[in-house]
Amino acid sequence: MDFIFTSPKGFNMKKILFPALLILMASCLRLDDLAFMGDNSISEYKFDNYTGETDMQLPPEYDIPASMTHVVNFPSNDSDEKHPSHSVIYGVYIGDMEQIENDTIIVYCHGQRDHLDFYWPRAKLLANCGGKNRFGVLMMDYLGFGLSKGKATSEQMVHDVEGSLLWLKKMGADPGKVIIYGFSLGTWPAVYIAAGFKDFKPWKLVTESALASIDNITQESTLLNVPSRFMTDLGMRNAYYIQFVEQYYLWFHGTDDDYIAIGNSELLLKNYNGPYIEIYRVEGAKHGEDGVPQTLGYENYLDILYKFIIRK
Amino acid sequence: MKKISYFLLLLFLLSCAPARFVVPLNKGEHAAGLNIGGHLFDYQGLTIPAPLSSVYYGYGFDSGSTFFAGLHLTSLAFGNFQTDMGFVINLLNQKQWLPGLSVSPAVNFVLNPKWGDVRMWPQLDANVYWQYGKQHHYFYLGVSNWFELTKLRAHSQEIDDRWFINPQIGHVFRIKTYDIGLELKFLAPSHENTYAFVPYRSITGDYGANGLYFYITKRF
Repeated sequence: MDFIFTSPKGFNMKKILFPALLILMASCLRLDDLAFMGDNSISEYKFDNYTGETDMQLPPEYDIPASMTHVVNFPSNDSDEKHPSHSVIYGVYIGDMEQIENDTIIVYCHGQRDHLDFYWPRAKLLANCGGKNRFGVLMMDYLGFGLSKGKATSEQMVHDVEGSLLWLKKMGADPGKVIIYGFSLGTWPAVYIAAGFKDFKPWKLVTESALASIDNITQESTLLNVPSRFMTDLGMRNAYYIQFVEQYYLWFHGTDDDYIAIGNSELLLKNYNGPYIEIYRVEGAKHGEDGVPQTLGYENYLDILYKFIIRK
Repeated sequence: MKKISYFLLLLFLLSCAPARFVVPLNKGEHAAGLNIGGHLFDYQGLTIPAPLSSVYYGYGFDSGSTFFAGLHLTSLAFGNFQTDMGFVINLLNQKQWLPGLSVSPAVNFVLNPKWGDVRMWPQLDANVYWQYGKQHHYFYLGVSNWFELTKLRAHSQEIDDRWFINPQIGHVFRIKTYDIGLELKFLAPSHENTYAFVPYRSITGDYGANGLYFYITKRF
């Protein structure tokens, strides 16, 4: 069908068209970076003195003594020899550093926004679970967020959270007392690590507003069976990896989540094969603002979490 | 949480292009064109169309049927070879105010060579059109039907909806050998959009999305 490429005057358009095609295909834009909305512009964490937007407004009764707040740093897990990052991850540990080896610790994997200051109220809330500073809380910034300088990728996120667990290990923490908690984008490293990180396997898993996978998000939006790889290399297949999770599992998702629809998390429920699960479809809860803790009420939320943590 | 710009371009497919050659070309006539635009979405408080684009070619086999093929440039920039290819067949000529009618069976094909992913969706459009004036400007309204052939999507979920009906309305100005068109699509208006990650904008609120397209065609 030569007429497709040849004009009526016989000008051979192949000479123009094919090189143009090759150039365009080689350029290969990807949407990966847009998943990560980290802010690397800060020079220090301000925590209670932070004046920017935060994920929730917390009453003063949940404040944490400054003596219990510690900025920590540790290397990302470079066990992946193919793609070593040689990167330093910054985080905040809320609790008594001297008691890490004895404490039960919640490792909170935050969502896609800004840096630790944005999620600081959530970390403080978690530090009130079961009473003030009853459990330790570790929250880290992935590369590309806050003081963790570098480039965020889905693989790097996993290495960064693994790095935080290895730091806990170095500090003497007992993996049998560590709960890994993922929110939104942070559910990806949480589920993946719970499923298969052998060097420090967390004791229990909590997900809040989990995504099923980038494929699922893509197909919910296109209505067609479109592979996400047409536009992004992100996989984040939580709904696949959850089948390998053997830990107790606490599941939260808001019924009115207008960012990551609850159907995403439902797929995790369907595929979970572990021994124990608690499910909270929180009526009316959205994503982030007006999210699960706010809708449940902070005390109810903390009570659910506390009972799950102490469950034998 | 405010919607973000992550998957601005997600609707590569269902909303990727306007109707091709609603009024068939004359016998032996060639045409080539460019279209830009896509689904409307909220971006930082503004409603804007997705910046999708494609180039296309048409050839009039006779006065009642036109072959066409499109190459999707935005998709190409993401490493995909995406094309739509088909025919426009004129079924009824316009008789004064009684509109003409054309149908267009087509196929949409996408290949990602890096991953080896391939997808294909058949499409069947039907449009009525009214030509007017000496230049034969025309406006049209019709429906674009897309069909999903696969049974399962991500995580082995069964696909319930296989037929997507997308009404459309457009107008084409003919200036000498140029056709300049604007089209508004109502994408999947029977489907709730609150489950979508993309902050679609639709005049039907929580259902479907609208698509806006501009196109220019040179006939020769």
